Amino acid sequence: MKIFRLANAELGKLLHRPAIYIMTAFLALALVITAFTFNPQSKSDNLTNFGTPTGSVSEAFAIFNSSTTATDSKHQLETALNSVYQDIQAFSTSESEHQNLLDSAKSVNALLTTGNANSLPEILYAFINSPTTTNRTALNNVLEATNESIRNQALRVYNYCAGLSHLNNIDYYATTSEINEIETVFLNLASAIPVNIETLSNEQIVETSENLRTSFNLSPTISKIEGFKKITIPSETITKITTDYYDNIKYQEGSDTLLTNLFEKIENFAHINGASTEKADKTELNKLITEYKNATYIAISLMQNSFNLEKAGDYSNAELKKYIGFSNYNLYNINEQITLNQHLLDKEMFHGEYRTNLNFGVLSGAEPSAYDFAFYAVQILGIIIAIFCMFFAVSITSGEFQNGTIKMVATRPYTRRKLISGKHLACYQFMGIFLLFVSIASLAIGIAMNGFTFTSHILVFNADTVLTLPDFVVFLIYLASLALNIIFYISIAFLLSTIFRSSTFALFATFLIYFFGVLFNAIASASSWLIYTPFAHLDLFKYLGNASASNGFLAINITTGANFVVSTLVLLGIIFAVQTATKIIFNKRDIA
Amino acid sequence: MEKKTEKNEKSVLRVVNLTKQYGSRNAIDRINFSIKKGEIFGFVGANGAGKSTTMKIITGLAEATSGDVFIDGKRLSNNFEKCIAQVGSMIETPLFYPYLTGFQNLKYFAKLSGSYKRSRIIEIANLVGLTGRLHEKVQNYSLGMKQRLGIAQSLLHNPKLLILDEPTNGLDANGIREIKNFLVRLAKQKGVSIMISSHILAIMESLCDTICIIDKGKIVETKTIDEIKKSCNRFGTHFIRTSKPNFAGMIIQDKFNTKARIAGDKVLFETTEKQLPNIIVELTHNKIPIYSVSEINYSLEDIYLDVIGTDNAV
Repeated sequence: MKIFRLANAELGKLLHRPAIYIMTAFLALALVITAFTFNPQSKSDNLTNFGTPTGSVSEAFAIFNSSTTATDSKHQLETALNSVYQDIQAFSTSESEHQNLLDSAKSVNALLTTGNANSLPEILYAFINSPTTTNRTALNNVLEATNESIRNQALRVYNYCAGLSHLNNIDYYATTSEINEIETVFLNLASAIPVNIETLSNEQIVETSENLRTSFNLSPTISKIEGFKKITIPSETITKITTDYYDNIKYQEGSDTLLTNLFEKIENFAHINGASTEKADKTELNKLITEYKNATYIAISLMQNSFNLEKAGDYSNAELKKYIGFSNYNLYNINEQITLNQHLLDKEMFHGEYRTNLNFGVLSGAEPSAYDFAFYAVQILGIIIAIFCMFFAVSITSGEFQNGTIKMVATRPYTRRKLISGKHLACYQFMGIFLLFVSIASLAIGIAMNGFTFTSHILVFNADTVLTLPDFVVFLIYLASLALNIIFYISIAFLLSTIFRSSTFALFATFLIYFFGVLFNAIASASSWLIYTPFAHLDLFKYLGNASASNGFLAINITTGANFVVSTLVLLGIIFAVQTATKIIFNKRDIA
Repeated sequence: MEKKTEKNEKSVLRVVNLTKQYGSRNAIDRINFSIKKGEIFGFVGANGAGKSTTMKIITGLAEATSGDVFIDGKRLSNNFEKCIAQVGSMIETPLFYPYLTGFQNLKYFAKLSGSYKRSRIIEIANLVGLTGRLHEKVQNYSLGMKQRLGIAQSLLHNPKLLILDEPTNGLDANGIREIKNFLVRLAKQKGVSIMISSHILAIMESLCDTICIIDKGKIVETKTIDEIKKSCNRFGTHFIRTSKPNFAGMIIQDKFNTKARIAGDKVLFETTEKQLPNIIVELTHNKIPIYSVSEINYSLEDIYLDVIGTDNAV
C-alpha cells in the first residue's frame, strides 16, 4: 500500500541522520541507569510473627489465642471486625440526631415567633401594653426562662453543627458551607441573648426583645435543615451486609463460620505440633494465623466498602465530594476493592501470595518475576520514547516545511491525505520499534536479575471483573495502553506542526501539553472541571487495577466517574478528531 | 462538458480560466493555454507576474481559486495522483535533505514515485552532469549542482510533462548550454512536453517553440516563435549597410514599392528572398557601395518589451 511505502521511505531517511543513533544510545544509557536504580522492596508476605526463636509452637499459639495486646492476636482481630460492625449498627440508630437538630431549631423558632402564647413577642406586647411592676416581674421570670431556653437550644444547635464538620459518620447529605451557615446563625442568636435580665431597664428589654424577634427569622434556616436529603439505607441492605460479612464470618465457637473454621485449623495444628520448636513448624503456624488475619481484613474491607457504597447513594463522585464525610470517597476504587475482595473471599484465597498491582519498583507478593524490571523500565523509558516520537513527528512535518523539501514531496503521486497518513504511520512504526527494543532489552535484564521466573496477576478490570493473567499478557496490555497514550500525543504533535510551520513552536506547544498530561495526576482532583478534559482518559491501563495500592507513579489515580468504555471512546474519539483536523488543514493549505 | 476538439485531445497540459486570489489581489487571472506533446513552452514575465503561481497550481502545490487544469485530458483536481504521476517538476529553488547525498536524495524520491532503479539514477545523473559529485552530501553542493539535482529529480519517473521554473538559475554558460541541448533532445526525441519559465529571454528564444508572455497575472500573448518573428516585421525583414543610406533608401522605396527606414548607416526594408537579389543589383547599378546585407533578427527582448510596454517599471 502506498502509505506503507511513504512510511518506510520516511524511516529509511532516518538512518542517515545522526540523531537516530544518539536517541538509541540515550535510550540504552537510560535503560542501564534504570537497571542500577532498580531497587525493589520485597514486600513481605505479610506473615504474622508469633512465637520466639526458641519457643514452641504451642507457646506461639497461646499468645495468638489469649493476648489482648499483641498485634494480630485473635482478640485484636475480633475487635477490629467488631468495631466496623458497630459503626454500621450505629448508623441506623443515629437517625435521631437529625431529628434532634430539627426539633431544637423549631423550638427556638417557636419561642421567637408570634402566635405562641409563651412566645417572646406575646409576653413582650403584654408588657408594653401594660408596663406594670407585676407585669415586669412576670416578664422577667418568663424572659429568663425563655431566654434561657432559647440560648440553650441555640447553643445546642451550634454545638451540633460545630461537631458535624469533624465527624465522618453523619446521616444526611450536607455541605460544609451549609453547616457553617446554620452554625453561624445559631451562634449569633446565642450571643444576642442577654444573660442577665434584671440589670436591664425596661427600654433595654424591649429593645433586646424586639431585636431578637426581628433579626432572627429562623424560617429559612429551618427550611434548609428540613431540606437536607437524608442518607437512607434500607435496613434489609444493612442486614445483608452484616450477615454476609460479619455474622457468617466472625468467630463463634461451635458454629460453621469462616473464621471459626480457620481457627480450628490453627488450633489443630498447634495441638499436633505443640511441642515442636522447629522454625519450619512455627512458620507454618504463622501461615495459618496469617490466613485468619487476611480473612478478617477481607471481611472488614468488604463490610466497610459495601456500607460506604450504600451511603454514597445515587451521587456521582464529583457530586459526593462536596458533602461532609464524603471528601475522600473514590467510588471506582471502592467498587474495585469490593470486587477483588469478594473474589478472594469466594475462592478462599487468604494466603496473600497472589501478586498485587504492578508498582513502581516495588515487588509485591511472594515471587519475583523476570517482568518486574520490564514493567519498571517501560514506565520510565516510556516518557523518553514519547518525547522522541514527538520530536520525530514535528521534524517530518514542520521540519519539512521549514527546509522546503515538502515541495519535492508534495509533487509526488500522493494525495495530501496520504502524505500526512504516511507520516503518521512512520511515527507509529518509530514508536513501535523503540518500544520493542526497550521491552526486549528490559525483559532480558529482568531475566538476568530474576532468572526465567514468571508469575500471574490478579487484576480487576473496570472495577467489576476479576482476571487472573500471566505476566506477559499484562505486559502486552500495558504496552498497548502506553502506545495509545503516545499516539494521542503524536496526533497532537502532527496537528500543531501542520498549523504552525515553525518547528520550535510546534515542539514547545506539544511538550507543554505532554507535561501537563503527565502532571495531571498530581494537580487534578475528582471534583474539578479538569476531569472533563481528555487528560483524565489517557491511561486506559488504570482500568486494569488492583485495589491494594496506588497504580504506579504515572498512572492516574483520580476517578472521573467514567468506566473503561467511556474512557476508550473519549480517547479514540479525540485522536480521531485531532487526526481529521490535521488531514483537513494539511489538505487545504498551499505549500510554498 | 468540454468539446473534444483536436487540440484538446492532443494537449498534454491544458489550463482553463485559472485564477488564484490572495486576499483581494488576483495573483493570476483567467489564464488559458495548452501544451502539445513534444512542445517546449516558454513562460515569460517579470518577477511577480504569476509564472510561479501558475506552475504551483499545475503541480498541486497550491489550490486555484477557480479554473481547471487538465493533464493528459484528466482533470487534476479529481485525479491528482494519476495526473501528477505524469509530471516532473522543479519549482523555484530546489531543496533537498541536506544530510543525504545527491544519490540518496534521488533514491528517496524515486522510491516515493514507486520505481527505484539504481541504473536509472546513475543515468539521469550523467544526463544532468552530476556524476562526479553524486555521493556527496547535498549540504556541500553549490547552487548550480543543486539545480542540476533538481532537474534530475524531475526526470526520475519518465514524466510526460516537465515543469521547470528557472532551470538555468545558477548554471554557468556551459551548464546552460548542456541543459538546453538536453531539454531539446528530450522534447524532440522522447516527446516530452516541457514548460519552462525564465526571465532570461535569450535562452527562451533559442529553446522554446511557443512563448507565453504573462504580466500582472494575465496572459498578454501566446505565440510560436515563428509567429512572433513574422508579426514583428515592423521595420522590414532585411537591412544593408552603406555609405549612402539616404540614396539607397530612396531607390528601394521608389523602385520596389516598399518602405525603407534609415538608421545611421543602415537601411531597413521589407522584402522576400526572391526579391532581395534584384534590390542588390539595382543598388549596385546605381553605384551604391554595399558593405553588408543581413536579415533583421528581432530578439525576443525587443518583442517582450514592446508587448509589455516601456512603462513596466518594477
